[in-house]
Amino acid sequence: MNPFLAQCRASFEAQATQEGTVEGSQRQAEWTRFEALGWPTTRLEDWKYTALSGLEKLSLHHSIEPREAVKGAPRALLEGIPAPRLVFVDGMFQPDQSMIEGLPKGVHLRFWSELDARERERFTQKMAPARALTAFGALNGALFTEGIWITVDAGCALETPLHLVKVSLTGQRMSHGALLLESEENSELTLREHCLGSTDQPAHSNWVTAIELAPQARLTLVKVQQEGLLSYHTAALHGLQRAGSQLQVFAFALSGALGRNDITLRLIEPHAECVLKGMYRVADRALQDFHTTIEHDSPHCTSDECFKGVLEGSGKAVFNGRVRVALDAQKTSSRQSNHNLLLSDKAEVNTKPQLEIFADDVKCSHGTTVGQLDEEQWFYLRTRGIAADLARTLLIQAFTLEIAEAIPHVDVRAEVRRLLGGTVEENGHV
Amino acid sequence: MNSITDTLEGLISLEYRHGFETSIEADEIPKGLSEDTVRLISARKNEPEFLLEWRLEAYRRWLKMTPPTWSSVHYPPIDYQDIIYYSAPKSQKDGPKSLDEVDPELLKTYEKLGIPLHERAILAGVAVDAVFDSVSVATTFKDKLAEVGIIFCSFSEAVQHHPELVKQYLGTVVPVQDNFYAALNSAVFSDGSFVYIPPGVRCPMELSTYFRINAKNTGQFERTLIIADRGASVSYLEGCTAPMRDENQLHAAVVELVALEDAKIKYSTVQNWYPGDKDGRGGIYNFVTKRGDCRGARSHISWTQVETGSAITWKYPSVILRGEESVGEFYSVALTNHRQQADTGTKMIHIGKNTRSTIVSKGISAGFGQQAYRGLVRMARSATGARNHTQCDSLLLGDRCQAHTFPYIEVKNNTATVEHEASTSRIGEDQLFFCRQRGLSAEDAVSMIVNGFCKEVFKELPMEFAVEAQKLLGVSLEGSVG
Repeated sequence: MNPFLAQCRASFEAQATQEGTVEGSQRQAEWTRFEALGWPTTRLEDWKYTALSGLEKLSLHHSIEPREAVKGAPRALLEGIPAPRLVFVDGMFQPDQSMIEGLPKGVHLRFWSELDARERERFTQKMAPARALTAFGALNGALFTEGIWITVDAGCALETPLHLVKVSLTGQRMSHGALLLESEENSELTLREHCLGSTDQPAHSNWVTAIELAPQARLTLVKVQQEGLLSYHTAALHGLQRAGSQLQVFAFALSGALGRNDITLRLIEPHAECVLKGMYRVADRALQDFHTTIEHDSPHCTSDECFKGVLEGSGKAVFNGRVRVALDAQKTSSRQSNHNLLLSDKAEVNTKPQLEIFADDVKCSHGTTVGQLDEEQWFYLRTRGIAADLARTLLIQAFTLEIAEAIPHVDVRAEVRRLLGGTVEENGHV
Repeated sequence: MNSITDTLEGLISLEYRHGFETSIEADEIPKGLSEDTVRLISARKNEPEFLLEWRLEAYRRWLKMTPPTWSSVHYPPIDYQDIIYYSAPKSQKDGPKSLDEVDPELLKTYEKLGIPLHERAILAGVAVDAVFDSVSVATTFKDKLAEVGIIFCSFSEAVQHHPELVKQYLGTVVPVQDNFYAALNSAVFSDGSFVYIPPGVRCPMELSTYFRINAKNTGQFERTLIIADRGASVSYLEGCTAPMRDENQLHAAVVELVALEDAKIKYSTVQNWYPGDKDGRGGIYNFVTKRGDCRGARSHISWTQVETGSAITWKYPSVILRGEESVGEFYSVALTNHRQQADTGTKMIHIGKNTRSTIVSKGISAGFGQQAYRGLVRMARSATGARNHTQCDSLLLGDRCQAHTFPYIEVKNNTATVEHEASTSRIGEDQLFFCRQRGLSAEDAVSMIVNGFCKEVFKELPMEFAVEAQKLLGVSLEGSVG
C-alpha cells in the first residue's frame, strides 16, 4: 500500500468510529468500492496518460477536527471576493469568513452536520452518480468531512453570483468535500467557484459536485483552479438536466502540480441545453487532465463543448471528451472542439475526442488541433512595431480569452478575463 | 419520408453474390491447435528449421496471451480447438507447375468471382496470386515479373527459394508477440503472398492477391510480406470473398510492408468476406494486423481499403514513419449493414523529421450495423516538423445503427501539427429532396449521395477496384436506404 493510501485508510478507520451506524455503513460501502476499484494507474484506460506517482508518495494528513479547530484563510486571499460567499478552508466551512446574509429567501443552504438521518440518506443518494465517476469519488464518499446542499426555489433568479471559495491552507493536508446543488423550475443562478491555495507545500483537494436542474432552470458554473504549484486537485462533477434546462460550465485550470477533472453532463429530457467550456495552461512539470462526458439521453437536446490548452515547459495535458448519443435521442445537435498550443519542445498533449452515436437523426461533430503560434500573425504584429514578447502574449491571450468571453455574467466574465490576462503576462517571458 | 424508408428497405434485402461453395477435395489436418499442429503445418510445407522455431516461439507466446477486450465489437468466445488450421485443395498437393495444371473447378470459382486469372489476366494486365483456403494456387505473370528482378510468389515458395529474404524481414514490422491474433497467425500461418521489388525498379503492373475461404470450419491465416527496396515502387491489390455458411469463420491475417529509402508501396484492399445473413448468423471474423514500416528517408506507404464484408471487421492498417520526410496515408470506406460490426482505423506513428500523414475515413452504417473508427496519431519527441491531417466522417442510414469515433492523439513535439475533424450525420432530407426534385429515384439519389460521400477514398483506388468498390457499395446497401 502506498503512503497516500495508508493515510486514507488510517483516516477512514478513525472517522468511521466517530459517526453513527447509518453514515458508518455508507462510508464503509464507499470505502469497499474504492478498494475494489483499486488505485488508478496508467494501466487503466481512463488514467492512461495521467500518472499519480507524485501523489501516491505523499503521506497527507486528513483532518477530522470540528470546524472551530480550523483557522481561517488569510485576509488577503479573500480580498476582492464579494458577498454572497461561502468559504471552505481545508475542506471545512468557515462561517466567520463567509457572507451569506444577502442571499434571497429562495436560496437555501444546509450542511451535512445539520441533516437528519433521512436527509443524509437523500443527500448521499443524490451524490452517488458524481461519486461513481472515479475512484476518487468513492474515496470522497468514504472520507468527506463537509457536505453542503444548496437549493434554489422555483422562479428564484439571482442577479449576483454566489461565490464558493475553497482554500488549501495547510500543507501536507488532504480535504474531501461534497456539494449538492438543486435548481427548481425556472430558477437562475451563477456560481463562481474559486479554488485557492496559500501553501507552498503539497496538498490534495478532492471535491465532488452534483447538480440537478429542474425544467427550465438555468445555471452557470465558473470554476477557476489557482492552487499552489505543488497542489493536487481531483474533482468530479455530475450534472443532470431536465426538460428545457440550461447548464453552462466553465472550467479554468491555471496552476497546480496535477489536476484531474471528471465532468459528466446528462441531458435526460427534451430540449435541454448544455455548454461546457474550459481552458488549461500548464508549465514546468504540471499536468492537467480533463475527462468529460456529455450524454444525450433524450431527443432535441443541444451540447456545445470547447476546451483550449496552452502548454509550456515540461507541461502535460490530457483531454478526453466523450459524447454519447443514446438510441432514440433524435435531433441531437452536438459540437465539440479541443485546441492546443504547444509552446515548448518538452510539452506534451494527449487528446481523444470520442463520439458514440446510437441514433441516426443527429448532427455531431468534433475537431481537434495541436499546433504552435501562427508565424504569420506574429510577423504581422512585429511589423507593426510590437515587441516579440508582447506579440506572443497577445496571441496567447487571443487564443485563451475566447473561452472567457462566453461567460454570460458580465462581472464574472470581466474577472476571469483579468485572471487570464494576469497569468499570461506572468508567464509571458518564460 | 415513409416512401423513402420503404425503398431503402427494399434495397437492403440483396443477397451475398459470392456465396457459392466449390466442392474440391481438400487435404486438411485434424481440428485443434497444439505444438504438434504447428510442427505438422511446418512439416507439410517443408519449411526450414528457423521458421519452425519462429512459429513455435509465437505459439508459446500466444498461449500466455488473452484475447483483447477493449474494442467495441461483440462476439461469443472463439474455440481455438474447433478450427482446422490447414486446408489445401488435394489436387494441388505438389503445387501447380502452370495454370493448365490448376483444378478446373477452382478456376471456375475464380471466374465466378470475376478475377482476371489466366487469359483474362493478360487482358487485364494484372498479376494475380490467388490464395484458396490455406495455399496459394497459382501465380500469374511470374516470369514476366522475374525479368525485371521482381519476386512475386506465394509465401511458401518464398520460404523455399528466398529463405534469406524471409529471414531478414519476417516479423520485423509485426513482431510475433504484437497482439493475440498476430501471435496466432505467426504460429499457424499457412500461406500468403511475398513480394520483393529490387532497388530502383518500378513494378510494371499492378500486383494482386485474391483470397477465398472455401472449406468449412477452416480458419484462414495468411501472411503477406512486401518489401520495396531503395527507390522501388509497387501497387498491390487484395480482394477477399467467402462462401455463405451459418458458422462463423476466423480470418486472422498479418500483412507486413517494408519501404526502404525513396520506395513507395500502395496497398489496396477490397474486402467482401461473407457478412452473415440479415439476422447476423454466420459470416467471417476478420481480425487482421496490417502494418507498414517507412524505414528509409522519403519512403511512402499508402493504405486504401474498402470494407463491405465480414460479420466483424477488426483491423488497423498502420504506418510507422521512421525515415525522414516519409509519408503515410490511410483511406478507408467501411460499410456495415444488418448485424455487421466494424472496429477499424489506423495508427500513424511519427518518428522521423518532417514526416507527413493523411487519414481519411468514411464510415457508413445501416440496419443494425455497428461501426467504430479507432485511430492513433503519435508525434514522438523526435518528429520535428511532422504533420497530420485526419478526417473521419460517418453516415447513418437507419435509426438502429451506431457510429463511434475514438481518435487518440499524442503529441510530444511542439513543431508538429495535428488536425483532426470528425462528423456524424445522416443523409440530409434537403439533399434527397434536391435529387428527387430533379427526377432521380430515391434509390439513385441515395446511392449517388453515398458515392459522393466516399469519393475521396475511391479516387485513391486503382481503376479496376474503384469500379468494383462502387458496385459493391451499391449491392451491400441494398435494403438499407432510409
